[in-house]
Amino acid sequence: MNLLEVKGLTKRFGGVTAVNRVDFSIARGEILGMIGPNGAGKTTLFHLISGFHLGDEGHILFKGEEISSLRPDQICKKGIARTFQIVRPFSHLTVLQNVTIGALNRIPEVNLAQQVALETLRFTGLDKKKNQVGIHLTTPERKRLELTRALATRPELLLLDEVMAGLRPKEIEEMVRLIQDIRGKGITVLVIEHIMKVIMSLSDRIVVLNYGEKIATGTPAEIAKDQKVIKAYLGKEYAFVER
Amino acid sequence: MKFSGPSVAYSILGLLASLLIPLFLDAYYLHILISILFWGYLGSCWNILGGYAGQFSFGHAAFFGVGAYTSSLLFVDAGISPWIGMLLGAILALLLGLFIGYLCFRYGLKGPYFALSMLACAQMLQIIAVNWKAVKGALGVLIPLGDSFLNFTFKNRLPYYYVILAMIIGILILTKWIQEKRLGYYFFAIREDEDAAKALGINIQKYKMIAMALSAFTTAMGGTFYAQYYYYIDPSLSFGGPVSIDILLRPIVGGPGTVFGPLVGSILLSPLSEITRSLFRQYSGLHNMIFGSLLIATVIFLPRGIMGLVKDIGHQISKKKKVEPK
Repeated sequence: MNLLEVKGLTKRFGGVTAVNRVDFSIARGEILGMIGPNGAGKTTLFHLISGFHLGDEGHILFKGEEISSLRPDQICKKGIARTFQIVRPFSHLTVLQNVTIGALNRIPEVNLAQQVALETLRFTGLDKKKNQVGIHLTTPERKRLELTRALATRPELLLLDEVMAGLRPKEIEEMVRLIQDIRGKGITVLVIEHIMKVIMSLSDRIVVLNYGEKIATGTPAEIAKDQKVIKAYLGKEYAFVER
Repeated sequence: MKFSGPSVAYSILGLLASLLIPLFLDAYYLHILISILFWGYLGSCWNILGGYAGQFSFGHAAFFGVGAYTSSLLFVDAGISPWIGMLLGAILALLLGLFIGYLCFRYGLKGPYFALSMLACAQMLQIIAVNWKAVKGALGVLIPLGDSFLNFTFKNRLPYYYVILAMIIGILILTKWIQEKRLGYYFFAIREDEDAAKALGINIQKYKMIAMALSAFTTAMGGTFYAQYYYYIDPSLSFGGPVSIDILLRPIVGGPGTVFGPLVGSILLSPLSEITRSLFRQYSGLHNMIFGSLLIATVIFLPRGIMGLVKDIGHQISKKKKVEPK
C-alpha cells in the first residue's frame, strides 16, 4: 500500500482552477520531487495535503485513511509534517524552544520534548544555534530551523516546500545530504524545488505540474526526455541530461 | 517546576517581607500597596490571554464586572457569602469567556478585530447593567459595611492586603506553571505564528479557549475583591472602558508574556496613578493623560516592556563577562 495516495484532487479559487484532477502516490521510503513553473499549483497541493486548504473534489488517503477533511493539527498528529515556502520561525523564541514546540506534538512532557528537540537539532546540525532567537538567524539557518521543527513532530511523511531557495551552492549540497539522511531514517519525503540539478539527483521519482494539472510522472531520466515537460518547463538544455 | 537554591531563599525573603512590612504601614500607604497588588493581579490574569497566548483583549472589564456583580448581588439580595459569590462569578465569567471565545476564534478574529469584539462585549454588558432594574441599574450596588471574614468585609485594610497577596501569589504560581508546561509553549506558538503552530500539530482553537477560560475565571475573582474592598460598584466602575485599559496597561508596560511583568508594571504605575490622582485632584482626568503618555512612550521605546529591557541589559552584561577573559 502506498503511504500517500492523491486521487482526482481539485481546488478552485473563484474562476481559477489551481489544482485540477491531480492523481499521484508516494511509496513508503521514497523521495518524490515535484516540479512545475510558477503558479503550477505545487504549493496549493501542499496546502491541500497538509489541511490548510479544503479541496473541492477528490481524495487524499494517508496510510489508506481519508484525511482530506481534517484540520492541519490533526494531519500533523497523523504523521504528516510540512515546511512553509516563506519560512515562519517563532521569531521571539529561541531555536531550542522552536523545535521543542514541534517535539511536543508527540511528547507532552516539556523536559523529554526538549531532549528530543536537542537530538533533532544535532541531526540537522543546528545545535550550536540553539540559544539564538528566531529573528537573529540567517536565511539558510531559518530554512534549516523550519525543517528541524517539522522533523521534531516525528512525521512519517515530510513535505518540504522549496527549502533550498535562496541558498548558496555549498549550502544546497548540505541540504541535499540532510534530506537523504532524513530518508535514511525511514521518513518519506515530498519535495517541491525549482533547482533542476538538485531535484534530478535527489528524487526517486518526479511529478510535473503545469497549470494545475499533472502532465508527467516518472524517474528523473524519463522526465528529462518527456517532450511535454521540456516544452512546459525544462527548456532544451535539460532535454537529454542523464542521471 | 524547577527551584534552585538562591531563588528559594529570595522567595522566602520576599514572602516574609510582604507579610510583615504592611504591619508597620499607615492606612494610606497600605492602600497604595493593596492597589499595586490588586492591579498586578488583574494584569496577570490578562497576561495569560493577552501576553502568553497573544490574544489582545481590550474588554477584560467584561469578566471583571461579571465577577463584581455576581458576588455583590448574591451577597446583598440573597445573603450568600461573597467567597462563594467569588467562585460563582468566576464560573459565570468563564462561561462568558468560552462563549465569546467560541464566536471570535471560530471565525478567526485576530488582533484588532478580537480586541474590538471584547470591547464591544464589555460595552454591551455595561449598557445592560445600566438599564436592568434587577441589577439596580445606574445606581449600582452598595455592599453593607461590616467586619466579618465570612462576609469578606473588614474594618481594617490589613485583611484585604493579605487576601490580595494570596491571590497574586496564586496567579504568579499559575503563570509560572503555565510557562513551563506544554500549555505555555503552545500559547507562545499561537502568539508568534498561528499557521506555523497549526502545522506543528497545535489545535489553536482549543488552546485559545483554554487561555480565555483561565483568564476570564481569574479576572472575575479580582472583580469580587474590588467590590468588597471599595464597598460599592456601578456599571461604569465594573464594565467601563477605563477598567479594561487599567487592566491591560500594567502587563504592557511591565512586559507581556513574562511571569512578573504585570506586577512590575503595577509597581511603577499604580503608585503613580494614586499619587497623581491626589496631587491633581482639581484637574479631573489629568492622571489619565499622564497614564496615556506613559503608555505611548512604552509602546514606542520599550515594545517588550520593562522586563524586556531588563533581559536585554542582562544579556549585555553576560556578553561582556564572556568577552573579558580575553
